[in-house]
Amino acid sequence: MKKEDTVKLVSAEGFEFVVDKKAAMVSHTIRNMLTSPGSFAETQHGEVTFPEISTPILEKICQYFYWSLQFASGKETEFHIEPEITLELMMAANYLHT
Amino acid sequence: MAMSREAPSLVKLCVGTVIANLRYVGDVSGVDLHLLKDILPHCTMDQLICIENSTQDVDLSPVTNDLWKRFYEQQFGEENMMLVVKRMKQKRVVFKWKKLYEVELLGYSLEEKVTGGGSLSWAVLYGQHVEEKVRMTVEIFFGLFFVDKWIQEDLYL
Repeated sequence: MKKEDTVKLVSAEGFEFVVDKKAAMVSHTIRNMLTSPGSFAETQHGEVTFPEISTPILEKICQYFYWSLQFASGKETEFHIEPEITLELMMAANYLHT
Repeated sequence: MAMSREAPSLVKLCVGTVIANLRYVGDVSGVDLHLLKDILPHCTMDQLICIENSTQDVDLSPVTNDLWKRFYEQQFGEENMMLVVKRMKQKRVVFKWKKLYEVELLGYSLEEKVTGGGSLSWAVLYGQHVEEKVRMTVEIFFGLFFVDKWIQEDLYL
């Protein structure tokens, strides 16, 4: 996989998730960051830091990105969300327009 | 040929999960009010009370007031609810429906107060060991609604 086809998402604790750009752009917020012409530093470096999103939540969000792509391609499985993380996940998803 | 469709948003999936687990929800500070508007109408009264009591940092009443109005109507009837609305308009005051519910729950309908049961109810109310918060609410509520009447009857404390 070419580096320019991926993006690095960094959690509040500094954990890095390298995901396909196509997957990350499921998030409208990330899509805007990566596609706005010359505006965000993130666009150049292919790296986005989320100081307010914890590692387990960001991991779940990355899982959702890939699940969403699978779903759209016809593989309609269930996306399980653990009740104990739901509120935090919902706030992060809301921020990411996901 | 199988038609693929767009995946539900993660926000939507989370909202569905929260609604399915409302009995475990407590503090919702930090959650946008527009999301709570989708979630909280699914609460029972006990669940709503638990969430409101657990969420001290945020005033949820912009979302919950209408829900309490609904609980009020369910419990005390549409006629009583309409009477309260009319009274508030007349007196140009606004009370939160949760407070109105708490007051009404004590068993003193507005009509009884207006038609003369007021003095007895008031005395009974003060004779009871009601919670301070509720007592204060009752005081404010009836003070604004019936102060003229109490003055006339020499009942105003």
